Amino acid sequence: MTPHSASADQLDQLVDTEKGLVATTIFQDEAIYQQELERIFARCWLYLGHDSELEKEGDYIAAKMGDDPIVVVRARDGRIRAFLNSCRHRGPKLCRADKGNTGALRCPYHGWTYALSGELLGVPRLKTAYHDELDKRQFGLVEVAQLDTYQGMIFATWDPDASSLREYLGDFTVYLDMMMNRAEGGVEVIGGVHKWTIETNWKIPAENFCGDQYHLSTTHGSSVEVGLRNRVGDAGHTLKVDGGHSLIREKGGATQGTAALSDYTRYVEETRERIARERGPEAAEFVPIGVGTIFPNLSFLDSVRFRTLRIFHPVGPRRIEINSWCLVDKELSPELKEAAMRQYVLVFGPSGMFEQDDGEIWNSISEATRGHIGRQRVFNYQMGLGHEVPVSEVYGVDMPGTMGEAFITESNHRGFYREWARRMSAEPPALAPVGG
Amino acid sequence: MQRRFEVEELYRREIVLLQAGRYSDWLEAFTEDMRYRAPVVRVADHRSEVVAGPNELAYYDETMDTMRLRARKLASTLAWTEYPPSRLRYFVQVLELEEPCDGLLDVTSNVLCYQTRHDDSEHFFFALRRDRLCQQDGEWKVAERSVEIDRSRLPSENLSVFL
Repeated sequence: MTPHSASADQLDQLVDTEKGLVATTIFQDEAIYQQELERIFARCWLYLGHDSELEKEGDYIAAKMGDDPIVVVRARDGRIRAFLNSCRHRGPKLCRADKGNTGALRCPYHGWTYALSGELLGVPRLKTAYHDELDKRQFGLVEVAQLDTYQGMIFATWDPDASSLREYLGDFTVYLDMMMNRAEGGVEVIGGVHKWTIETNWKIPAENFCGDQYHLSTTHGSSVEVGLRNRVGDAGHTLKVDGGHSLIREKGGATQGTAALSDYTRYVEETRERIARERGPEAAEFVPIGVGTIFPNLSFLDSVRFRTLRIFHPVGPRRIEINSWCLVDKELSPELKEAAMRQYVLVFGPSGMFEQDDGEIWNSISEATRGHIGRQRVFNYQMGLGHEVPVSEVYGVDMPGTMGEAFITESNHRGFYREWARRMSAEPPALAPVGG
Repeated sequence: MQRRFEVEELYRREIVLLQAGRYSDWLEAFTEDMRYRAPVVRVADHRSEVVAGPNELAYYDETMDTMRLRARKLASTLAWTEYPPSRLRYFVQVLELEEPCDGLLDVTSNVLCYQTRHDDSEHFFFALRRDRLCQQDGEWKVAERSVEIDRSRLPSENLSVFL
């Protein structure tokens, strides 16, 4: 436990989802941030990458869990493993590239060398300088407590007692399946990552993706004006499940519009018709799945134009690093993959016609609420309070979760902050020292 | 020397329009069938892997149609990235110039775009620019442009400038 962590009572005051009020200080305060690293980022299942990025033995990718650098490798036995990307001797990063292939992980400082399984293999001058007395078994790499995949998405947690990934995702798997498993062969990540930085708190983009249909008409008004997007309608669903995971889907599919459409849109329409035949018309309503957040910091957008996954890494209370990927169904022709990629680039990522405006506004939230007065206020999350219904009442018994009576609602935001407060209140047992 | 002078004239005209945010006018420097790309750059162990390939991600991967769409968007008073407008300064340094055949020129240059916004927001975008120019009606136009920005992680909250 951190020395000055906020108690459950204090957190109840900071986040009051019954009244729909959240204190601005949770987006600013350094002690709250440290508590988030301990109770959210060291406890939750966090996204590391997609298994299509680690095709061969020895392939590795750089990732992060909270503010800790991680290296994810495909080991010799084919297993995916993830370690703190830091040498046990004096701490430098072992893998310094975004991705690559290697036979072993070698520290560039003094040359300690680790197997892809994390075991310490080689220590220069073990005999002459360490007198053969170093217990190498005690100094393997620091490995995550649990690692698992769901539909090709690799997740890990530092908590050995955390429930399984499947339980963590809970009812949300029903919806994730619609995004990640609707074509033969699954999905793959297009090479290259959009990486950028925004001076804002990580919860701002996470809550935006979890259910903010409300901002589209103003934040993205310019893209609506030029026809890249239809005007926001009132038909769709904004739904959440337990665990803080949620999504919004607009009827007809997010970011449709008449300008610059591609053949990919026709492919998604065909997929929807196939899903309607195979799984019924209610299920087809969820193709493409829309926009959402898997608690705490993985978001997605699956539209009639493209599909993206992105993660918001916290770097202090007022800074994030975003990594964003474009995903396509493996079975797609190279032409359709390119069409989806070009649509993604046009609309999302730091240069995307939509997303460039989000960054501009999110950083000004941090700026405008960082002062003595600004950080003592509350933000309003009251939209649609008391107007929520089970999804099954609207879409049939197989569909879990709760949705707003109106399409545009802050029901999902409240679900996100309820989960945030629950996890922040839970005083966790200290994590066991790792690796001796 | 004559060719170099002609290319520098084209680039000077571009700079004037870019600095003024006159993007629709700036697009007249390009051919109708132009391609404009800015591949992402990664941290890689080998030099050959640094710049993403043609089937990989880019910040821009545009045709004239999508560039016109971007230009129209940036002109809107709801385009928050340019409202209030950025202050922009461009510097272009021609490095190499080759004439593979009559009517075509391949030019590489260094580009610096200095962008400031609001009170104290400041971004530098340094890039290597590769152009293929072609002659149309006695004028050089950009048929293909690829810019490699010297950042693996952009330091900015967005990328709304063109290089």
